[in-house]
Amino acid sequence: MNTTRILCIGSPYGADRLGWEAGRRLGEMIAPGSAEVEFLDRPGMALIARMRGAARVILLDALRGSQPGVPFRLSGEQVARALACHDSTHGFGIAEALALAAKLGELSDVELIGLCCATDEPSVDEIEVLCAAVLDATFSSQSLRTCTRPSCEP
Amino acid sequence: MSTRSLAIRVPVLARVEGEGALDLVIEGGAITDLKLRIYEPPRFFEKLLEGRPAHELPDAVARICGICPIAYQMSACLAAEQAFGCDAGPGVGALRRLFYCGEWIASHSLHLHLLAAPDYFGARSVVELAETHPAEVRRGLGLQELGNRLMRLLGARAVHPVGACLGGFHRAPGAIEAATLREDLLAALPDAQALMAWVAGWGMPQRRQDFESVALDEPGTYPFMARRLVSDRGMDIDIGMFEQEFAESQVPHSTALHCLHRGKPYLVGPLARMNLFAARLPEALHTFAAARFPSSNVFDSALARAIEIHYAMLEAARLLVPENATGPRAEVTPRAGTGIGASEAPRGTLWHRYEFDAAGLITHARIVPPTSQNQARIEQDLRASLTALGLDRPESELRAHAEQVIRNYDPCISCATHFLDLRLIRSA
Repeated sequence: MNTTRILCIGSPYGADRLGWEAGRRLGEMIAPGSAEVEFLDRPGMALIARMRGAARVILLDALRGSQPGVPFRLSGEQVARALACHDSTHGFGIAEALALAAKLGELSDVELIGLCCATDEPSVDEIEVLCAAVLDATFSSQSLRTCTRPSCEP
Repeated sequence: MSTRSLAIRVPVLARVEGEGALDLVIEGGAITDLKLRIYEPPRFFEKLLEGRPAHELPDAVARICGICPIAYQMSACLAAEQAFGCDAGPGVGALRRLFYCGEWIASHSLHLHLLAAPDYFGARSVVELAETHPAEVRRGLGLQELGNRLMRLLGARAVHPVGACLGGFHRAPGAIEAATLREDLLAALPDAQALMAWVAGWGMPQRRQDFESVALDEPGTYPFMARRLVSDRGMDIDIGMFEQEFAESQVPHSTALHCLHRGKPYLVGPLARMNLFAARLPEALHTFAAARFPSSNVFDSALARAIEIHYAMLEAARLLVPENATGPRAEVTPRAGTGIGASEAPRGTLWHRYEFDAAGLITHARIVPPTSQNQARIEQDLRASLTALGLDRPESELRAHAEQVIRNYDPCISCATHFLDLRLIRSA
């Protein structure tokens, strides 16, 4: 139950892949055993099962409406409020899953790192800049230890 | 009898794959106009498939529906394999049935708990329902996750899975993963049993109606994939005769075609399957089902779904054995030809027909989904159910019941009806 789980939400395409790209880099940087990294594609209510058993959950997701290139971080009830206005397939998106998890007493300590870029088809450079910022934001606030291997230095 | 005039417009059934709305006009105490409007722009999927190679079919058609992609994949594979003279064999058939069980479990669980159940407990959503029935909601999510795991086992992911291909699957399920999942399915059977008992106790509206139940007939078993299509009115045809028996037509108020059987609405889906084939369920389930089915009350669809969840779990556990983990794929050699395939999507019969040229490129495609087949039946049901409820009831009650009727048929439409924006025009 001490697990930190990083849930990367998105797909391999366009700007929607920001969560996965950032998660992939993060997975390479963190020390083995310090966190679990999972990649999810439209999890819907299955997000609840993915969060289960983790003491802390960090959601990485591409979102619109913030400053491109600058990840923003929300925690606690801010997460649900920020996501409440987002459309989702069949109305079962991240916000609804978090609301239901809270109602069922299964809501972990959740933090959302939102990723926004300027276009729907971000360039490799744009993704790199954003992912680097995510790494900074994540490492600066979490107890995730960076891997000591030289090749993994941030 | 009330002679009031009432016009109910539900202009937006939003955020769904099948976007729709409901227009209802009551004049002089009678319904004078009722239209279930599916106004989502056509996606031209059949046209998009033209010119594409056959091997792209399973991945392409999976994109048509986020809830029942496996149904689209299976109907398409069966059609293409018929055109190419390929018999995938019993091993692949068993894996496909296993794959399909996952979709039934996940889709039905989603529908029952997230869409339908709030109607029966005065809740506006599953989040509200979880305040009063947390154990039932938690159980439902657990069952849905089991279905998702089955889909991931063979499809690599639950939404738009990528594991299926012409001839079978890209890989067989891993032995350890399969054994673990089998144990978990068996351990969850009491949950499925409890779900059936719970749903049987819902206060279903009693709306006896006259309709024809249509489903595939898979010899000797409860149907997933088959070549014969039957009804409780005596129809018994090869699926190759579908176009001679059933006709789709455009109606002005919908971008989805209405499909009629010899000019009349009919029903496909879990209730139709249960009405036709409850006797083919395992004995314990059949005994349970026999108390309610066959049923002319369309609201019994919910109980049919609960029973099908239990059946699909038993069936998946039966199929999750090592001998089904070998030979996941038969060779397929494209050639010119025409193929027809059909399977039982969670929502009902899904019929596909493709023509291929000598290079295996698709030259023509036709897909008849369950939503199209049930549309006319839904309108027929709405007229009867609202009249039975009483057209002089408050408009909020009429609207709520209309939503409940629509939601009872189809998860996509059901989702939409959770977001109704009602506009009411009342005249003297």
